[in-house]
Amino acid sequence: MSGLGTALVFWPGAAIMLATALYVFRTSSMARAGLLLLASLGVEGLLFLALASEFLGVLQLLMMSGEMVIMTFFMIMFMPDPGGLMGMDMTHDKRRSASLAVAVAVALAIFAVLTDWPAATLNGEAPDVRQIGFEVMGRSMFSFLFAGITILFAMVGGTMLAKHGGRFAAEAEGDLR
Amino acid sequence: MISLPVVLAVAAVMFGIGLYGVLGQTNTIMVMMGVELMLGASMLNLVGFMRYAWPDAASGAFFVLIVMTLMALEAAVGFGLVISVFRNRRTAELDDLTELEG
Amino acid sequence: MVLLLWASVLLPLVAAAATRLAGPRADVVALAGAALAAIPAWIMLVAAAGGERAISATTWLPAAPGLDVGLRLDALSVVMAVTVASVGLAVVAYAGGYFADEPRRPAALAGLLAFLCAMQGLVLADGYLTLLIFWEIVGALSARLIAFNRAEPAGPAGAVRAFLTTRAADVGLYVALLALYAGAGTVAFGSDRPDGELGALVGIGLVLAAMGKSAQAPLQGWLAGAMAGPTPVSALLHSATMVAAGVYLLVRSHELLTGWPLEVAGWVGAITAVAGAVIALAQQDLKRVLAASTTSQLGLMFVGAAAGGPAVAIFHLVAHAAGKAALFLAAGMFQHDREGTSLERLRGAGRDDRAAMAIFAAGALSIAAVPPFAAFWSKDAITAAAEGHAGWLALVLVAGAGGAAYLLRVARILWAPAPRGLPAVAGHRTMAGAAGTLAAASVGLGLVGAPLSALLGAELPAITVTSVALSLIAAGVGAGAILLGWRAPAAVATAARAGLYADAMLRHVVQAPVAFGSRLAARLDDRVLDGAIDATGRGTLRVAGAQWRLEERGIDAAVDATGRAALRVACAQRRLEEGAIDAAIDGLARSIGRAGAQNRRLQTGRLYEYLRDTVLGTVAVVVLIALAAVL
Repeated sequence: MSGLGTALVFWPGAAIMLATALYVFRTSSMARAGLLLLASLGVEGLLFLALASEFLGVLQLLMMSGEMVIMTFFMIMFMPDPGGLMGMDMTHDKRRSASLAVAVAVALAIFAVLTDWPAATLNGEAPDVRQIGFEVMGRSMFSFLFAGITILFAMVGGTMLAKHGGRFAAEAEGDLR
Repeated sequence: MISLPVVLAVAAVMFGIGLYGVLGQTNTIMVMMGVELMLGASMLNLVGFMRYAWPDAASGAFFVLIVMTLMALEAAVGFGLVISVFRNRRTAELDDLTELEG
Repeated sequence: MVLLLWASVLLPLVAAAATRLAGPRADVVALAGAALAAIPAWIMLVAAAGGERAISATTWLPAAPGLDVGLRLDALSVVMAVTVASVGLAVVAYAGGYFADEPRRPAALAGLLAFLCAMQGLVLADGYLTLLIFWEIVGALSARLIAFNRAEPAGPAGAVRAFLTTRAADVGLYVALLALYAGAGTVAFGSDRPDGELGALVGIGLVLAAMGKSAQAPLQGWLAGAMAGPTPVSALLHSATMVAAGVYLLVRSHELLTGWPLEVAGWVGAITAVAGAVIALAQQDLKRVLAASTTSQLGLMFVGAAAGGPAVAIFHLVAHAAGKAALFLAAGMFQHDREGTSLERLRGAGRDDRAAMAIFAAGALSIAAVPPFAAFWSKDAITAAAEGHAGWLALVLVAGAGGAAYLLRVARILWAPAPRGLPAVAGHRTMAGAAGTLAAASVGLGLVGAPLSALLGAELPAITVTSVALSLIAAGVGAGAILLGWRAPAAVATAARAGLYADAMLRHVVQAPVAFGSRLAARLDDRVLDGAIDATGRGTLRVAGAQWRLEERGIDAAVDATGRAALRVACAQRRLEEGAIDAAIDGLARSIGRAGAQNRRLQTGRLYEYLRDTVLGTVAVVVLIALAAVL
């Protein structure tokens, strides 16, 4: 994608991404918050595409759509006011957390702008899927295997945490055996 | 046009928004959403580096894959914890979980 | 060939998995699997006869090429593989019928097939490391199969005993391997025995491991306990293949063991051969008779390995595998007929079940070394090999006489004119077919001696008139003793019934000293150390008492005066303390308390505040690092 094309996608995309991210924490409706987060991370996937990472962009879109829909379900299950109809405030300590967040963001942004980053032009093609595949199945094989096993552990551990009464409790109705 | 500092600055703002969510929200799941945003910002950083600083390094893409894995793990374990807490006390509000009070 | 090697190990495993999932048709699946798994072994045998040799090993630890793992195809391994696969096929076919009424039949058949996988790995292993791996798997699977029958109370005990005894002896294999690696830098087959102590460790360890696996005296007790398992398991594991692994180890390690270790193994085998025969004469249970007979025959193989070399031992191993498996399978048929294996219950069973009796007779004639049955030729080779060694020869002949005697005794009981005319049970035909094949093999296998020795490249001692005559006379004496009803002296009979007191001996020689030692250590702890402390305590008390008496009388007055003076000083001091020192200490305590209360406010229990503090801390650390980098 040319520089102009990238800019044409990047700027509106970044604006939408940040706006939706901010609105995640400003709406009082849980379902809306989850969908806004989905929108934000999905637009981030578009930004990946614009930044010449096709594989990661598509993967981000796929992953986030699955994950955020699940998150929305969970929010509706565990929120005192899922629809936001009661207009209750879901924040605490608003002033201090906002100022700390703004301070950190500004500091990071200044750091980002003022640092003299190494620059290299994209010569020809960006790393394509094939190259990523070689990376994953070659040099980073061990890390990748480790990540896979970690996911497995997290799945088992999450299920155990979620099971009625934890790991050692008697079986309750509806439990998987 | 776009350059690396621009991407990093956008990511920094996104990180700040996520941090605000983590610190300012009362509900555990909203806090997890904040964490997701922060991780998303780090992924944006990595992609920016990959595009503008080390275009030939496929290991950057691999790093992004690992961060995505991390997001999935965080969601899995986090939801497990939320369910466990909710089952025991019928709430997932952080303000009600004050056992650590000294 | 490499493919066939791995196929012969892995096919039984695949078959085991398929059988486990097959449900009611498990017998067909298992039979097909076992037959399929036997094909590679036979192809390899043909190839090996044509001079083919192959090794498929990997260097998994690049720094230590001596620790390669893999499989090998050579004359010895392929002969063993064919024996295991063929006996395994017959036994699996038989087990399909034996377990006809067993609801857990798939599990039983899958266990047998899984055992075949491990056993093929053991005999095809290249290098002692691979052998050790499969050696352990075989032992564990054996325990599992012995305890298969959950209704049998002796099962778990027998399994545990078999496992623990063989495990204890396996320590020898570990020690031998470590010593071999330390001495020779490799655990590959065919290396020379290191000199000195390491060589001694290698020799002792290997012989001990072989003794344990092959149930040689005085470790033979576990084999009788293992008879609590299902009969096909006894036939496959505890007569034909697994217990033969000890003999295989001796033969495989022939170069390593030349000299005194083989001498030791030979004596152990010769003594076991006689001891097993004596024990077999006194047993009241058919399977236990056969178990004791197995020990005896394995002892003969030890003698063969020591005196005559590989061909002799392996020839007898093959002949014995067919004959003893046939005997066990016939015993299993009787067991189904009469629902038990005690000789009393089986009296006359042979007349009811003539097929089983014929199979039993074929196996028994072979094992009792009656010409022209298979084991006659192999046992005769052992006799001929032992001719140069008077002690072994005598023991081998006595064992031969005993073998004829105990088998004839059992056969007479089975053929006693006390038929009950019970109907044949389910699965009988399958059982008879499979067992009959083995019985036929035990008739014909005598012919394989010459080709076998040619394949192994080791000589079979020529059969001499003397050896044949001696063997026949021995067998005749044994048979005659039974026919004429000679009675053994009561002491010998009692000893034999008690398994020649091997258990008691082990108890006295191993258990008792260990227990005594630990009791001694406990007593040392109780008496000497505790006693010393107690004595010190008592002494101190006594001194204190004496002092007390002294004080009462003389010193008291002085002390009282001093005390009164001290009291007065103390009162003065107290006033000082209350006024000044106490105030200072109280003040300090109060300020610490206040600080604590202040600190406590940090600990709010509100997680988001903790999170915020974490972020602030991180920021602080980053700022510090940045400052350090800039400055």
